[in-house]
Amino acid sequence: METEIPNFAPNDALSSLSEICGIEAVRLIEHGGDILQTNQVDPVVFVTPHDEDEVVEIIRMAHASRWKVSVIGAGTQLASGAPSDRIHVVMGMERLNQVVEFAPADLVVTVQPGVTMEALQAVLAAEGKMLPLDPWLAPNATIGGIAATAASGPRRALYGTVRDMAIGLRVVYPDGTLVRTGGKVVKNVAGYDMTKLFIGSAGTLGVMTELTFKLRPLPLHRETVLLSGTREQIAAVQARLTSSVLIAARAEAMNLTTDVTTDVTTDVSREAADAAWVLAVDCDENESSARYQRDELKTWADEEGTDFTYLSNVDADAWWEATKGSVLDAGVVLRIAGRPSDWEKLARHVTAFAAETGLQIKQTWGVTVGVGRIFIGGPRQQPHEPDTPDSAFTHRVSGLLLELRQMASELGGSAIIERASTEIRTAVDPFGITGGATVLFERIKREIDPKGVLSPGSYAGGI
Amino acid sequence: MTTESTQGQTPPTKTQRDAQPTQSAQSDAQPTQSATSQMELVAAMQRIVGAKNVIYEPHRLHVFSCDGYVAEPSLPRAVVMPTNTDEVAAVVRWLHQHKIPFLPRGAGTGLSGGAIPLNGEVIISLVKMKKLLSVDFENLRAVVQPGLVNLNLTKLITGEGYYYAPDPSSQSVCTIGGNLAENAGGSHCLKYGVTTNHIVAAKFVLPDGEVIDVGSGFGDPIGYDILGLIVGSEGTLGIATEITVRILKKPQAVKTALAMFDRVEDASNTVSAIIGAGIIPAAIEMMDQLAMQAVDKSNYHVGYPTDIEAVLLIEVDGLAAGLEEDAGRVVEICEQNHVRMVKVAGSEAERSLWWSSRKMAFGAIGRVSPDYIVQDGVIPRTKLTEVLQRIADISCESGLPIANVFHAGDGNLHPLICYDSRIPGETEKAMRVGSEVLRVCVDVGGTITGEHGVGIEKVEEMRYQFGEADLAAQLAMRDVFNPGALCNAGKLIPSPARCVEVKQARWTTGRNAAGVEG
Ligand SMILES: Cc1cc2nc3c(=O)[nH]c(=O)nc-3n(C[C@H](O)[C@H](O)[C@H](O)COP(=O)(O)OP(=O)(O)OC[C@H]3O[C@@H](n4cnc5c(N)ncnc54)[C@H](O)[C@@H]3O)c2cc1C
Ligand SMILES: Cc1cc2nc3c(=O)[nH]c(=O)nc-3n(C[C@H](O)[C@H](O)[C@H](O)COP(=O)(O)OP(=O)(O)OC[C@H]3O[C@@H](n4cnc5c(N)ncnc54)[C@H](O)[C@@H]3O)c2cc1C
Repeated sequence: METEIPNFAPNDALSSLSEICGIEAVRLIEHGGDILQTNQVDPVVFVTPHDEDEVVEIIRMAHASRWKVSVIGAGTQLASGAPSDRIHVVMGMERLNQVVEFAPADLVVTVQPGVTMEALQAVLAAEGKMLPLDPWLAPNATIGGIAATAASGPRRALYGTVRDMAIGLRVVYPDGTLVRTGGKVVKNVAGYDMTKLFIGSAGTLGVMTELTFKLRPLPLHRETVLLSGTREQIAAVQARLTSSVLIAARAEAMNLTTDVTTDVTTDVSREAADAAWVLAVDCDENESSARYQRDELKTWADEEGTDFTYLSNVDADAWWEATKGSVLDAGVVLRIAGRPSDWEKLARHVTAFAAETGLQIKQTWGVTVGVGRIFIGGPRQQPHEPDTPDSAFTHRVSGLLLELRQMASELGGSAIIERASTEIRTAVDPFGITGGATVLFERIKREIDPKGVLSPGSYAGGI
Repeated sequence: MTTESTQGQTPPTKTQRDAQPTQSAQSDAQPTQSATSQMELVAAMQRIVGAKNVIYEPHRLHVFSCDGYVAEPSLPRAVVMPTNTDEVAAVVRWLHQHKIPFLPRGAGTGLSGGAIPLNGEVIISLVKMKKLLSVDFENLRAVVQPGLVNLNLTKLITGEGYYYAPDPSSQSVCTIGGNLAENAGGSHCLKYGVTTNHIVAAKFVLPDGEVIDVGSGFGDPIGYDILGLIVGSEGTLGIATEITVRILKKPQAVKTALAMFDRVEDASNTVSAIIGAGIIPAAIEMMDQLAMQAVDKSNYHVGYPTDIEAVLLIEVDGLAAGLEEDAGRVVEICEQNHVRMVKVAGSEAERSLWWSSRKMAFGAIGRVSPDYIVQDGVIPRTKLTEVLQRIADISCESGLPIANVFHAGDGNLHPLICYDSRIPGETEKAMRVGSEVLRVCVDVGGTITGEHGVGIEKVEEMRYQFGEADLAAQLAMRDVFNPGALCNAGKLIPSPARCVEVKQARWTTGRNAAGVEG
C-alpha cells in the first residue's frame, strides 16, 4: 500500500475528529500498541462515533488525510491477524449498540455492530428466538467483531456459521461511501452476495454499521449428553455419530484439563491426558426425539466403554457457559480445520506436544464438522501490559502451528492463529494461505481500499 | 435489450485508483468485436475439445439462443463442450486472448436469461462434465463436475442413505453448476438452506483462463470469502468446473400434511403461527384456488374443493420418535386458524401425489393459460396476507388472472401472471403487472428475486432495491474478476447510465420448460 505519511499530528487529528463527534468521544492514546495489541509506540487517536453519519464523516476525513484506521468492537480481542502497518486512528464501535429492528415472527433481526452477543441473545430469547452462534469468546464480544472475524463455536455442527446467517449489511467503504448489501428477507439472490465479502474480512474492507441476521427459534428443549473416556473411545463414538441419523446440534470432543500435562513424567501425563476426553452431544429437537437420541448414545457409550451422563435445559446451558469460560483466558488460540475423521490424529499430535513441552494446552474439536481449537497458556496479556517477549514460548508455539499446518494441509485442511502475542504473529504467518485466490484478495483490497485506509497489512496474505 | 456493456460506466476515480492502467483500460472497453474469423475460432475450439464437441452450424445453434426465459433470444457464435477443467481453461484462455465474449451454460433451465448469448457469446456448455468425481460418506462431502444434474447426485448416493439437500423444482434436469451460479433454492430450503449453504469449495476458471481453488472442504474460508461471492454470480465472474458440496444423511422420518383453508388470511396466519411455535418444518408450500384448478386438470389430480382459497403443504422431518408430536402440533395450529380440512399423508403414494401436484404447478398453468410470467419476489412472511391481497388487486385492475404457487415458509412468492400474447398489448401489460408485483415486494421490505436470479429479465428492477452506490460496489467486484468484460456481460447489474426505456417484449413462458416439473 502507501508509505507512511510524513507528519501525522495527533493533536490536529484529535481536534478535527472532535468537531465530528464531540470532545467526549475522542481521546489520545500515547502508546498506540496498548489499544491495538501491537508493538506500535506511536500515538493513536481513539474515537467512538455515536451513529452511522459520524462513522461516514470520520472515514471521509481519514481518506482525505491519508490516515490509517483500525476498527474495534469490544476492543478486547484484537490479538489476531498479522500486526498491521502503523495506525493513526482507532475507531471504537461501542456506542453503536442498538437493536435496530427485531421482527420475531419473521425470524429476522437488524443490529448495530456494537451490540454485544450477550445483550442480543437476551433480547432475542425474550421472544423465544436465538442467533445460533456460540463462539469461544467472552459474552461482551460485539456482533461487529464476531461478524468481522467469522467467529464460530460448537453450534456450527447444526446451524452453520455467520456466513450462513448474515443476510444484509450497511457498510461504510474506505472512501466514506455508504453501501448496502443483501436485504432483510431470508431468501434473496438479487445481485452479487456482497455480504459474504465483509463477513470474516477483519475490518479490512469496510466498517459495518448495521447487520441483519436470520434467526432460529430457541429450542423448546435442550439436552446435552456427556460421554467421557479416552480419545480412542471418543473417536469410536464420533464415527458412529457421523454415520447415524441422529441430529447433533453440537458435537464437541474436548480435552480441557491441563494440570496433568504439566507433570514431568511424560508417559504418565500423556496417558492421563489421553484418558480425560469428553464428548458433548446436544439435541435441540423436541423432548421425545432427545430421549431417543440420548438412549442411542447411551447404548454406544456402553458398547465403547465410556461414562455417560446428561443435562437438560438451563443445566445444559450453564454447563456450556462454564466450559466456554474455562478457555477464555488462554493467551494463544489456534484453529485447525480438516476432515472430521482425521481429528483424532491431529489431537494425538497436540497431546504429545503438550507432554513434551510441558505447556498448558486445552483442545476442543467439533467432530462432525472438523474444526478444532487449541488453547495454549494461562492468563493472556491485558491490553495495557506491554508485550512480554518470551522467545522460547514463541518458538514452541510457532513450531506447533507449523507442524499442525503441515499435517492438516496434507489431510486437506488448514491451521491459523486466532489469537496470539504480536511476537508470535510476527514470527509465523497467522493464516498461511497460498495459491491463486490470494491474487484476487489483493485485487479486491486494491479495488475497495486503494489508499489502504483500513487496517492495512493485517489480513491474510499481508493485505 | 441492447448489447452495451455494463462496464461502460465506472466511478470517475477509477483510473486514479487503479494502479494498473492496462487493466482499467480494458475494463472500460465494450466486449469487443474481435477480428478473429469464425473459421479460426472453430478450428481453435476443435483443437482444444475435439471436432465432435464444437457446434457452429447455424441450424444447430438455434436451441442455444435462449434458456427458460424466451423473450430475448440471441444466437451464439458457437457452442463448445469441454470435458474437463483443463479444456475449459484452455478454451477461456484462447477466447480471452482473442477478445471473444463467452458464457457458461448448464441445462438452460434458468428463468431470467443468464445463459442467453446477448453479445453473440461463445457458449461453454458444461453438459459433458457430469461426473460424480468422489464421495466421502464418512465426512459428508461429494465432489462433482458442474454438469451433473442435481437429482442425479442424490440418486447416486441415496443407496447409502444420503442426499443433496437443495431441491429446485427443476432438479430432474438442472445442473449443480447452474445451481451454484443462481444460488438455487427449492421447497426444502426453509429448514436446510439454499445452495450457498451447501457448497463448500470449487475449482473456478477466471475469465482470463486462470484456474483457482476457492473455499475449503472443511472449516472456514481463509481470506476473503471468494466462494461466497461466486455463488449466485449468474455466470458473470467465471466458470465453476469442480464443485465440493455437503451431503446429508436422509432424515429418519418424514410427515406431510395437507391443509385446506376457506380464507388466504387463515393460511398465512398458520404459516406464521407454526414458525412462532418454534417448529421449523422442512417445507411449507402454498397454492391458491387458480393454481389448484390448474393442477387438478393435470395428471396429478388431488381433487381440491373449488370453494377454498388456499391450500398448504407442510412437511416436518427428523427423528421418528418426536415427529408424531410435531405433526400433531402442526395440525393443532391449522385447527386454531380455522382450517376446513387437514390431513396427514397416510402413505408414501399419497405424499408423493401431493408433492407432484405442487411441483407440476408451473407446467399446469401453462396448460390453462396460453402464456404466463413467473415472478420470484420475497417478502417478510408476516406480510403474506397483505401482499397476496395487493396482488389480487393488481390482478383485478389489470384484468389478468394471477395464480400463486409458492414457498410460503420463507415468503418466496411465485405469482404466475396469465395472459395471451396473441392479444395485442397484453404481453406489455403482463410485464407491467410483473414489475408492479416486484415493486410491492420491495415496498414491504422484500426483494425482487429469491431464487430465479436477475439475469436479463430483472436487471432494471434491481434499482427498486439498490441505490447507485450499492450497484457501483457490485460492478466494481465484476471488474475485479472480469476486467475485459468478456464473460457474460450486460446482465445482473444495471449499468449506471442505462435508462429504463428498453423494457420491450420481455416475458417468461412455460413453453420452453415443457416436460420440466415446475
Ligand atoms: C481469522 C480470525 C478468526 C477468528 N475466529 C474466532 C472464532 O472462531 N472464535 C473466537 O472466539 N474468536 C475468533 N477470533 C478472535 C476474534 O477477533 C474475537 O474473538 C472477536 O472478534 C471479539 O469481538 P470484539 O467485539 O472484541 O472484536 P474486536 O476484537 O474489537 O475486533 C475484531 C475484528 O473485527 C473488526 N471489527 C470490529 N467491529 C467491526 C465493524 N463494525 N466493522 C468492521 N470490522 C469490525 C476489527 O477491526 C477486528 O479486526 C478470530 C480472529 C480472526 C482474525
Ligand atoms: C419449471 C422450472 C422450475 C424451476 N424451479 C426452480 C426452483 O424451485 N428453485 C430455483 O432456484 N430455480 C428454479 N428454476 C430455475 C432454474 O432451474 C435454476 O436457476 C437452475 O439453477 C439453473 O440451472 P441450469 O443448469 O439450467 O443453468 P443454466 O440455465 O444453463 O444457467 C444458469 C446461469 O448459470 C450460469 N452457469 C451455468 N453453469 C455454470 C458454471 N458451471 N459456472 C458458472 N456459471 C454457470 C449461466 O451462465 C447462467 O447465467 C426452475 C426452472 C424451471 C424451468
